[in-house]
Amino acid sequence: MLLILVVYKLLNRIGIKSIPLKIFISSLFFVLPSIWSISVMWGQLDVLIMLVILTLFNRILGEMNDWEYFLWGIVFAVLLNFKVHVLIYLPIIFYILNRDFNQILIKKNIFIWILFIFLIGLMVLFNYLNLQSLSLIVYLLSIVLIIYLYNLKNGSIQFSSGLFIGIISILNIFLNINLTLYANNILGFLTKDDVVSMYAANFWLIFGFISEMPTSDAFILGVNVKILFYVINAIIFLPLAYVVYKLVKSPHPKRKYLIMLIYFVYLIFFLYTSTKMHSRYLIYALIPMTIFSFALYKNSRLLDKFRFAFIVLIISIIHILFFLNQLYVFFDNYSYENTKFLESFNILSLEQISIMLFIAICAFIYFVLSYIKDNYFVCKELQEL
Amino acid sequence: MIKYIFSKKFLFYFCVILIFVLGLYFRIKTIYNYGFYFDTVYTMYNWAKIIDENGYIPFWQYFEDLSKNYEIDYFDYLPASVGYIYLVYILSKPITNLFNLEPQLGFVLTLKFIN
Repeated sequence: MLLILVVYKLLNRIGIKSIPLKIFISSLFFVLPSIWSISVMWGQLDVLIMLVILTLFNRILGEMNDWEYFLWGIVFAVLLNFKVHVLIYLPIIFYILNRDFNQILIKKNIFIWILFIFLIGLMVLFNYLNLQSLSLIVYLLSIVLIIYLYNLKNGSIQFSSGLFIGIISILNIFLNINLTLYANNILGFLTKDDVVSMYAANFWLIFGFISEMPTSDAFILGVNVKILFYVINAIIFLPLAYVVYKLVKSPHPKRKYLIMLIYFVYLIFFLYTSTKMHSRYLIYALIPMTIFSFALYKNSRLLDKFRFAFIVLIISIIHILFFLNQLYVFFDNYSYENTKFLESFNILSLEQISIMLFIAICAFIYFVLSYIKDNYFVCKELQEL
Repeated sequence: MIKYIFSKKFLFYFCVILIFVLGLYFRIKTIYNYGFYFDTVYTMYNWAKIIDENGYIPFWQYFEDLSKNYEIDYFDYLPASVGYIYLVYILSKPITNLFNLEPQLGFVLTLKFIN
């Protein structure tokens, strides 16, 4: 119910004016099979974390005072102690926090770009060598570098101060209790043996690999899947980066939300192609992506309305496929009473879900990019004026 | 009246009511389901039980020794998540007593309700 309220507030912020439409879209989150399967079937905290993250997005997209930024930094540190996965939101949070970030992105400072490329290279290398804990340290280091090299303002400093104070306080508590167990839980998650998939319908299952197969044994045309993962992500990153670059220059008021949408679109592809993926982790990109896709909505041409309706249809398909993935895991691992009505939905195999999910995600990326290109890019004539 | 029934606004609100009815139906239909047993009962319920009987700080200090008594050899949660599970466990106690349920089922029901 709280999630519905937060979604309503976010829809309000991204510019949907019609009240019945906002009520309708937000109430859909009560029946979305993906959310229902996570909270009711798994009994997991992911939806609770999403609730706090969406509230955070809603708050920082508006105006706050310094203390609020600081408190949200501490809240984020606490969230990190629920699930480490929330780290994927840090770049977009710093993007929202800093109002001048659009100018910074196109700053022509070769030294900073070389430094970032070097850091990304280090992260990739550590990941490949199964040293994910070192990769995490480099990731946090690059976030700190962004803050200080770019001299970020407008809440970034307060937020990051709260975040670091929160992390240090929690670490201090556990230094006195049992830091080894605590560290094992974070780093153990990152450094455990890498597998192709943990019952998630991800990209690699299309090629006939099975769940929980070590990545060290998984090769496609003689190339290891971990290297292919970086190659595929780099390929998909290029068109998305081009659209972001164009949007940054655009004076459109919805520019910020569209860049956020592209970030979540990239995130969903990243999570779908990641190795060691759990079937439910896609939700971290799926929920924000669903909400921010409504930033595309434009009450203008009939053709655009149809295209937007098609985009919403693809999102619904992704949600259903996600639910079918959960059901597959449910019936493959356990059998219980009172599940006969659910059993009738378990119709697809993991490979079939993977293929359909791949088609749906690719179609979604294509249609979102073409929609943005046709509707939100500024034409040259307008720029000259 | 007929004009109102066929209006866009009425259709939207009708769909909203339908959505809530459907959502409640799905939730009530699966109310006595344990969900993913490994996650909900084997791990979460048993961790919460250890905390309830030994305390939160001893749970972290002596987990390896304590877990042997409860026949659990798996733990991969972070401190805040464990605290949340313990909170659910505390809240599940009156529900279990009130409806005379198995403690595991009471825990899962509370977890579903809070989620």
